[in-house]
Amino acid sequence: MKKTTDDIIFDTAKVFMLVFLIIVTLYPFLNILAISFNDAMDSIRGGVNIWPRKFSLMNYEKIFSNPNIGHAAIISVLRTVIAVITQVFCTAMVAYTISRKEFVLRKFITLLYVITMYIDGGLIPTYFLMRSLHLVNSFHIYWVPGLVAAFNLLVIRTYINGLSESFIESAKLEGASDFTIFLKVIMPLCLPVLATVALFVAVWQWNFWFDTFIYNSSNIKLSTLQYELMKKIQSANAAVSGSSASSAFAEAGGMSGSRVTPTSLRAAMTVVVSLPIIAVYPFLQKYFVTGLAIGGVKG
Amino acid sequence: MKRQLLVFLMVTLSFSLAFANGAKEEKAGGMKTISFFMGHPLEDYPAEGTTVGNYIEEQTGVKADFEFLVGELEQKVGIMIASGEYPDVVNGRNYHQKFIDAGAVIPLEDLIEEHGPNIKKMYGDTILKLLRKDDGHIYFLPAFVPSGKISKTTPDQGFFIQKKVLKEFGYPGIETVDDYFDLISKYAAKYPEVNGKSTIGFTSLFYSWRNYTVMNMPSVVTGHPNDGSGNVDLVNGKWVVSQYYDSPAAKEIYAKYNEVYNDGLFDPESFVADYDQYQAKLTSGRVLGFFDQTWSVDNVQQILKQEDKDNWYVALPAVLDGYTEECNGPASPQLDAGVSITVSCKDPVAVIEYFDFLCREETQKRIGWGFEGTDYLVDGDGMFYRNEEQRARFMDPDYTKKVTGGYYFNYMMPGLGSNSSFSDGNVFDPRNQPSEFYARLYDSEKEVLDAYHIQTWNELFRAPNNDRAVYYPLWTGKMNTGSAEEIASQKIKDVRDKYTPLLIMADKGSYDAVWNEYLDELNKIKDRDVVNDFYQKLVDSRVSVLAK
Amino acid sequence: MALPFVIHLIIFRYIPIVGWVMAFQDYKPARGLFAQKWVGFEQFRILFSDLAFYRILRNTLAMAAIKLVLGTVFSILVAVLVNETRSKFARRSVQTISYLPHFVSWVVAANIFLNVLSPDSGILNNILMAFGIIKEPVLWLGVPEYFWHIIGWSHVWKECGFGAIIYLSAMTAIDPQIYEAADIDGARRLQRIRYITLPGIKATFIILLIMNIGHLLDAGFEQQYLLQNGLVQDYSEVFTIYIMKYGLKMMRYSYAAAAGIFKSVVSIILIFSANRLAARLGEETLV
Repeated sequence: MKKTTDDIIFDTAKVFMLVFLIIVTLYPFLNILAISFNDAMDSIRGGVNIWPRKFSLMNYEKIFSNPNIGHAAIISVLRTVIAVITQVFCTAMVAYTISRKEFVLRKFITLLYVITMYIDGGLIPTYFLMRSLHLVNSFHIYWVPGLVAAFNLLVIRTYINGLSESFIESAKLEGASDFTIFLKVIMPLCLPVLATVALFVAVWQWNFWFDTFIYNSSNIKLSTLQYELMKKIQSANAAVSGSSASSAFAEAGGMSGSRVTPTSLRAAMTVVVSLPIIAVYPFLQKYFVTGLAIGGVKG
Repeated sequence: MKRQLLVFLMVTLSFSLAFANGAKEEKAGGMKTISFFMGHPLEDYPAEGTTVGNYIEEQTGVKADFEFLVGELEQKVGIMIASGEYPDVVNGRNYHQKFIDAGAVIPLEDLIEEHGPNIKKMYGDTILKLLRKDDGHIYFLPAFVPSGKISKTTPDQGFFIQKKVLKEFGYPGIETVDDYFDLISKYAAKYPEVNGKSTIGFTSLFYSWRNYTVMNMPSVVTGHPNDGSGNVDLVNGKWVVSQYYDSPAAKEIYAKYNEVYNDGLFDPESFVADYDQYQAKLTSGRVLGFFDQTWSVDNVQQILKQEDKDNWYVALPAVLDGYTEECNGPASPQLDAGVSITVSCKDPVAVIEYFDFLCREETQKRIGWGFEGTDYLVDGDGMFYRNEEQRARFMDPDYTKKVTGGYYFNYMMPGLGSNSSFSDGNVFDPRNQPSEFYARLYDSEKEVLDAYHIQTWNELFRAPNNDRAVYYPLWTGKMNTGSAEEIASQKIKDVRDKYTPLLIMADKGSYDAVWNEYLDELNKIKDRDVVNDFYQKLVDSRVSVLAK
Repeated sequence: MALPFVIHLIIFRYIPIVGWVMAFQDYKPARGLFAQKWVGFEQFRILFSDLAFYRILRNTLAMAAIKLVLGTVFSILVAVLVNETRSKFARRSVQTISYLPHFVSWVVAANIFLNVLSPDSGILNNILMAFGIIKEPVLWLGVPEYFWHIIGWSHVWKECGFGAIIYLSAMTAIDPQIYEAADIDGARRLQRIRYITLPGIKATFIILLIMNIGHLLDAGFEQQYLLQNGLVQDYSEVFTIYIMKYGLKMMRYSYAAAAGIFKSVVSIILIFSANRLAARLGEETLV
């Protein structure tokens, strides 16, 4: 296939844009990485680029010195895995239901979900609800309330709507039940969008700490990685925000390298929490292959 | 179909149930447990305890179970109050009044009378009187109690100037704001560059709440102590509160800043820079001066002093012509918040006895200094000191935390202020013990102190007017959340946030026009006098309580 | 089979709406929800009579719209560029790297932007001065007119890679045979994009657009909060910051609830209008 001038221009522009994109998105991350490995007191001077100026592992040592961090990480992984499995499965099921043209309540149910994206009862009523459902001080708060999220639901439904009806028709003729069709026909065809939703849920679950703060803060056994890291950052923040300075123990000394600052801790925390979730992405990318749903698409 | 669904849900449910049963209560063997909520972010109390903490535990038979704040305090307090579920003790800091309003905490005065001899001794009659609310009850015990001789080595705030500037001009005395800026401009004219980059005469910090470095100026340059929310002056024998944000002094000081700005000596990035950028700039050695509170530049000073290039800063007092400097306020307890016993507490007597133990002088000594022998030594006159090796150990904040528990038993608990002294004359905070203070100085610092013929930095400032103790400080008076005065202060703050930079950046000659526009905007705020009325009432009530 | 989920939805998302009654009260958390003082529409009156409210509404709508347009355009651009890249390695690297900024919190990101835009040694000023476009460094963050730009472009930086994911997944549903047929017909790259790729993601695009139109009163919080300063305050204050400052921080739950109801009502009107428009144009609809 020979390239036209247009194509050459297009390819050049494309490469230029992608390289630019990589530079502007990668540089800040390298900068954060460098700061996280740089001595905190030295970082105050600013000007650390993509390589540490005064190498130090202190920021990471401070983070991992928390004895609860391992347990919290396990809880984080669990909440992420459980939420991803349950949410993706349940959301897909509801999405399939509301994509069926013959289902009379589909508009009504869709509407019920859509509205929830724009309304919020507020913190206190929500707290009371969770308490009366015994979800306070419970692991279930992490996955039960968000089982089906409207946004994900609509994304999956839109994808299903784009699929050809013929598969479902033929499966029906073979006498398959709705659930079997969902499991054997729809799920495999939807893999790319399910991978996308899985990623969204995973990212959200992994990063979220507000529920731990509101509902599970008095139970260290249910603490999550993000929450433990927030604790660390906020206590470091408070130590430099004056209020504590009047205390006898805001003592700096500064002689030893054991002093950390919120900025440095935050850099290390960014690295610690983002690496695992970043590592998940390439794994999911294999589902993003054009033509995976080949033949299942309306022509 | 339905059955499959059910099976699926059951499986996920039981799967997660397995991880959900973490909520088991742990019983400490024979010990009483007191649960605390502290409205301040601290790291969790170490599982292995602290030397001082373990001592307190052994002596009292009480295990303190702390929960510290993570996230927004007002959300936490709101939910606690709405649900009516409290730990035994709460310290709600800025929102503590909410607990009192909600009837969530119990009066302490009878408990103190009966079970708190050491509490009574440490707080003293005056403070216990000040702590009484309008209904006559005491609801909380605050931290930072002033006691004995007040030993202050370092000023709270000041006009900072680089040591090299002072040295260049032979350590001149500075009285007025004009003197201060003259020195800066003379130095900048002589040395327009530092390490190849342009010299910055003066910088400031406008970022978020840290903009007090600019907003408090009208009060600072008229010599007032750090009342924060207004100026308080003795007029015909009465303490009168006034607001300074639209005062003649405000106009004058921002005009001065404007002049400095137009001379190119005021760092234009100040208006947008955040704290990290501010610190980076200060550590670069390019900045000749700034105004701030001392704690805010602790890290910066530490870096610069270690570098030993005379780039570190000395805090000086400076006022507008015709005003007298009185930056030091009297030592005062925190009057807006402390520890309270909640209605959920089953055994208030045990809690008050625990507090009483903390208030014993012996306990306070351990919280401040650690244990005699290992952590400090006592000289022939009974004065505490640390040897080189001990001092070095305590330079490490982690070590300090392991021994004294750091903030856990001091910062939010009943305890002495860092300038307070014990009955034997030793200062609570080792850093403020004169001998310790001097032993920790760098040679470069001693040089400056010697040049001014003083022993401590605070001697550059006047001694506090202790008459102010009847009300000081104003900022511990907390407005009711959502009240008219709180809304008005937020509106005033919004206008100031916008206009203060505009005033400083105004072109030559248009300063007055911007000032008038600023006043117009302020006048659009309905009833802004309620703010001053609130503080006046506060002062009146504090004064009258003491008079009783 | 949706029934259990509908019940779940009603329990978790509709029951707490009872809390909206707060908007008609002077709610104090110490008392029960129905033991409060009722004030009718007083909270709404205060909200609508606050002069700042209208300025904040303008800022919110403007910034949300800018973010929506720029965010969508650049997400699609990234998705298309990635889709047009053959090399598996290049595709994966671009995708993984461009989505990194999503994981950087605004606190960290804001600091990076303050440094980039710094008049003292910021890279933007340095570049522009090197090319002679400007003579003096510009205080970018201190000029009110630039603030919306800064918000828009920093949003693009942070979210375009993450936003592209959903379009990439939509593109997987396009039959490769169509591309092959187009290649045989001698279609150029831009034509392929125009006539195959973009129509292939139209349904997803419309659905996301309608949903986001409902979020026009939600311009973000941290981003503005951390990048703003007094000089640009008239352009930077958004609804969420206002609710935080004048509602939640002051524990005026009723006021915050009233503001929340206002926001919800506007959002719902917006999405239904957008949805109807889409239906009339014969496009994919939300409901």
